[in-house]
Amino acid sequence: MKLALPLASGLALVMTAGLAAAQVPAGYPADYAQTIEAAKKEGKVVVYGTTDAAAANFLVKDFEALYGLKVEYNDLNSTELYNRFIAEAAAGQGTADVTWSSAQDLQIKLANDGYAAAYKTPEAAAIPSWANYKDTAYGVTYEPVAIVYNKRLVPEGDVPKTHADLLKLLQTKTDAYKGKVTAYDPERSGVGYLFFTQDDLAFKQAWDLFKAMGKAEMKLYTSAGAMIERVTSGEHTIGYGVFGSYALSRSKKDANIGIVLPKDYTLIASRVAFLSNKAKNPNAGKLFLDYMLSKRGQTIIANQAELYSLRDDVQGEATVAKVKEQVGDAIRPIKIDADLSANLDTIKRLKFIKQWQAAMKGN
Amino acid sequence: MLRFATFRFAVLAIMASAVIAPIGLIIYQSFLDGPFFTPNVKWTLEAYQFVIEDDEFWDALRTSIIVAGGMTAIAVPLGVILAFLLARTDVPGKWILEPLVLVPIFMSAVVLAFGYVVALGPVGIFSTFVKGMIGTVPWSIYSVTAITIIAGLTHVPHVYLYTSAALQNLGADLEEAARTTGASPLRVAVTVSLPMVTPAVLYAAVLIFFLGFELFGLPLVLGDPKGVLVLATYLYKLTNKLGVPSYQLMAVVVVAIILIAIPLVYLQRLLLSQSNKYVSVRGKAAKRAPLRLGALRWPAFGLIILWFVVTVGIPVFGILLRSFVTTWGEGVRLSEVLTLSHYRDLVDYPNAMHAIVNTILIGVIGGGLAVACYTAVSLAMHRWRSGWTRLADYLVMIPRAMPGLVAGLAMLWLFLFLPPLQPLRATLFSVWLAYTIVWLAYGTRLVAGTMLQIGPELEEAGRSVGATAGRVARDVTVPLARSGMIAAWVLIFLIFAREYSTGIYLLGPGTEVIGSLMVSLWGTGAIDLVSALAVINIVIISVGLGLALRLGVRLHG
Amino acid sequence: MADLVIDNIKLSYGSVDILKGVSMTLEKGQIVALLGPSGSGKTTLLRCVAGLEEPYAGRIVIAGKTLFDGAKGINLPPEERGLGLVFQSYALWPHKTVFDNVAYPLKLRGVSGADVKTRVAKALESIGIGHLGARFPHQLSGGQQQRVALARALVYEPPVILLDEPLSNLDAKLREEARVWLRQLISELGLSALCVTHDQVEAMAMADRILLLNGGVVEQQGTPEEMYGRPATLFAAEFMGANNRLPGKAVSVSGDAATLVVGDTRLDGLPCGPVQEGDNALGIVRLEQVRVAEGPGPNRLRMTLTAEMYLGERYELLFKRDDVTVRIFSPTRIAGGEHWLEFPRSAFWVCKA
Repeated sequence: MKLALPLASGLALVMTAGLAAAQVPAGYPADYAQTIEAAKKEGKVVVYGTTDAAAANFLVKDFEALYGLKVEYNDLNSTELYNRFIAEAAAGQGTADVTWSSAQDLQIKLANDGYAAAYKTPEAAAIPSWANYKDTAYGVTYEPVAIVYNKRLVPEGDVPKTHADLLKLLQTKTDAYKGKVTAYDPERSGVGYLFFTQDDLAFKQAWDLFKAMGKAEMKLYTSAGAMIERVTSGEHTIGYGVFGSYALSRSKKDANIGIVLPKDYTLIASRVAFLSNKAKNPNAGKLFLDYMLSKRGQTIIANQAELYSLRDDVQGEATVAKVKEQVGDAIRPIKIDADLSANLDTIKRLKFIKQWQAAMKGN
Repeated sequence: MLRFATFRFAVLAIMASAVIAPIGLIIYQSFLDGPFFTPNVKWTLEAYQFVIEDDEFWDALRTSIIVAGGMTAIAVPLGVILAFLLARTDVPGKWILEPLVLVPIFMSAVVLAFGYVVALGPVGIFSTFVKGMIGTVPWSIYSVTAITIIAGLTHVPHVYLYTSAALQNLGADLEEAARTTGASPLRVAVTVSLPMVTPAVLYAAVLIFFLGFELFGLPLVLGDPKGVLVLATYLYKLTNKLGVPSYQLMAVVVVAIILIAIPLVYLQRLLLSQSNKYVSVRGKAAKRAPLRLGALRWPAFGLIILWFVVTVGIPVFGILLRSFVTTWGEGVRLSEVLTLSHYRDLVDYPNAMHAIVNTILIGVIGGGLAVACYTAVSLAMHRWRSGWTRLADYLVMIPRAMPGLVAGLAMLWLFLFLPPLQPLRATLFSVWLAYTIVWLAYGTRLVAGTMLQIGPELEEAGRSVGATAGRVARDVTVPLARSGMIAAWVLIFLIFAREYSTGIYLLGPGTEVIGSLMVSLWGTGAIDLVSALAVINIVIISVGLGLALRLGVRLHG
Repeated sequence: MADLVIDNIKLSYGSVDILKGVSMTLEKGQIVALLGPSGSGKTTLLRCVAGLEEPYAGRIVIAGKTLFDGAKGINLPPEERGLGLVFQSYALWPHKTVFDNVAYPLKLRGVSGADVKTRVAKALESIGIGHLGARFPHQLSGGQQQRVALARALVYEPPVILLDEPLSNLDAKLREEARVWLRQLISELGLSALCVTHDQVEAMAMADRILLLNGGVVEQQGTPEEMYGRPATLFAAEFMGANNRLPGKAVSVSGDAATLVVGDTRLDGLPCGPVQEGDNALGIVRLEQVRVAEGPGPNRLRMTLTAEMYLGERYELLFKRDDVTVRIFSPTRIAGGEHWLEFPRSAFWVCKA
């Protein structure tokens, strides 16, 4: 036995080395093996994400199986993620290697403020250009912003297929839908602000729509949970501007939920990820980011996590192809670019909010 | 040998630094123009200016005052009536009513609020039923009035606790004397017992009023649809108002809440000093005969049950029902949507399982450790005739002025920027410390109250036969306060088990707790899981409560 | 040598002065009673000696060891004073057995386990509760609890033992027995004791000396006989024993003689306190000193019998004349009507009203 032991460990060494070499994904540069090697030494990767752990877990498990690296996945809301990340970065006490957040604007701000490490992913070619911010921050998902409605309570004829339909519905049946429409509150929710400002850019009659919403006494919430729950219960019947991913997973459990992707334009939101420049495990971070963008990772995003894949070459339920099937070319991805961080400009923001508040009063 | 005075000052110093560090950081932050840890931050009063000029702040403050005042006006009379019925009369079913009365303390406000939405919301189960009968729903639970009423009802136990303790300390002979002079039981209650416990009642009233200002969960859920803002939810809104979290603005709101708290603590001290302290009747507390209610027995029982049903029964029923259906609301036949799948999903969801285990751990072990800390603080301040106790009183109260979320953020900063604490950040210890500090006021008052019930001569006897103050604390005070400390442990366990906001910034993988997990799932729309988790949380709390009662723990009195 | 010296102790609670300069000594082997009405400061004084209250001035010394000195800033904590204190409520620790209650002081003093056993057993034996060691305090009667409290205070042989109303929690019959027993025990063991009481009979029965406190000052101190037989003030006179009060006017006061006029009768007696000629004064005389005389004579007053009470071993008779009421004891009944009552000169004190 004493003889066998060094032999066995030597064998194991050879095998792991072999495995690592074999793991360099097709089409990646050869020196990627060194990144993998370094990542194995790091042993783990720390991820802060806004995607709830239940969904993220599919990715985490597969990634762990693929590379034998441990993933410490922290499930936080976007504000918490931001607060925690900047404080930890300032303290130099170690923070996330990868942050992955649905607050696109905050992510770009972090990248601009120098918290992100530039890294050109080998998957870059397969990623749409709108989802690549200076080879630093990448959109990972392709989530249509949907209108959800209660199938029991909204007659088929009333279901809005476009933003214009919704405007007409609210203008003609104001009383019937009084208090029945709901959306994210742009004042209290970063996502809400992002979506409504994008509508402002994409839809000529946006402010007419907002005013009609105000006249219909639209109710505003801070979380998707509160919105979807109240649409299924019938307290409200139409939910405007909901992440398609959340609506999709809910509709599978509850047949009452109907989902519409507006045919005039459908906003596409994307969860943005980047590598921290304070990463303790930078190589493992690269592996995880590349994995999320890879075909393998995106296939899981499309079929298990149900967050919608942004790669054209991925098959499944929550994919670009499926979105296009419904709305054709009326897709309008929210570009991951410097304009997003202008969203956070205080003066612009307060001005928009003031106008919004007036619209909510109907004028 | 360690002098007891040294111990006192050491504990005071440790407590002071544990309290002042996070608060000091917040106050410091309020005078800066950006996060305190970024380079080039400057001193400025801009944050104060912004908040003072913000109409929403004044709206929120006004609403907070209305809610705090209203809930005090509701909770105090009800709490006093309940305390009187249970402590003094022959109302039936006391053994079950006494623990039930406390239950609202242990219910997460968010869970209760969501339960109300399911049960009494515009399309809630009871609402649709009533609508079916009379054609309309005669109430709205999203108004300031509704928030005030619900907050008032859920805070009844606080008043009950203080009043019933005071009633129990009241000599029976005082009431009997009044009876023999010809006063009816009701008259005795109004003219003798009530005036005697007035200081305790006023004390509780001040506490409730203050708790009204840090109300968060209820207005967060119930104020959401109509945009009703109170101070704590205004603070939450500030996070997003400028796009990027603006700590200096949040800090200003916390400073405002502290400024409200200080005169209230002063008022409480004043009341306490007038109430002749808590010293109970020594030695032979005669077994007193309860006042006979006669024909009013069952109506009195009914009143308590009615309160309980409205405050706990209805929302718990709501959340319970929600956890067993796929959907609900107008036009849904509940029998067609029943399911067990939410619980099955929960079992498949590793974080939920971790959260359940961690919640029990932090409740049981963390609760025990916290009580040990509260005991040290109480012992250090116990019968200390010194001006330092005044400082201690304020110190203990201050963390209450920080909403849990802010307290958690401040604790994160401390663990990040104080070198001795850095290695402990990613451990459950950080969460525990944050919980322990946030609940300092509640916990020390529990333990200190028990210690004050011990006749001082029992401790003096120890000193006179040759034991140092430290020995007396170990050999007399602590053993005699043991049952009270166990009760405190149970109460702290229940409170830690329901906590949801404080730990959010400190949690990592493997250290999830149910409360924070619910908040995070709520954000992504996974209400199915939230409702199942909430039910499990309620089950944990009920089991804890049941076990405690089974073991003969007296939770109060 | 004096075992305990208390020198000019002053104490106040906030602005309220409780002790306004109290001094006394306790000789070895003596029992001194601190007597006074409630609020006189007697318990506070005892607690000062025990170290449970802190005076702001004065000195307390036991057997040459200074326990407290306001001027030098010395204030030993209670546990370093080595005194035995028996509380009014006994203050037995409810979570310890009788044995553990009594053993606790020995354990604090590092006495070895075997020694503790024998000494506790001896202490319990000596006060007649040797069989109760395993019980808890709540299983004992009041008298037994008192003995345990005493055993706990005696077991480590303190130089001075302090007793706070030791008998007040016992019922009347038991109290008299306990009084005798306590007195005997203290003298048998050769202890020095300071004992607070509000009952002058108890004080006289138990104490070698009595310190009468009133409003935070010493009204009078002395042996029981002195206190009872030669009160220095009206307060002292009235507090000790059962008295008759005869209101009148002092007409002559000189040295150790004073005369009181009651109605039209002159009664000679001893001056008591700062009484002067022409003062409104009170004549104080103990019930048992007044006797029925056959006829008129000096220091006699003619009064009418209005009530009689049978007390078992004697009668108590009530006499009246105008607004003056006099009670006397008599071994026998006497006929109704008017009688002459004599107030012995040496037991009749004329005090300023």
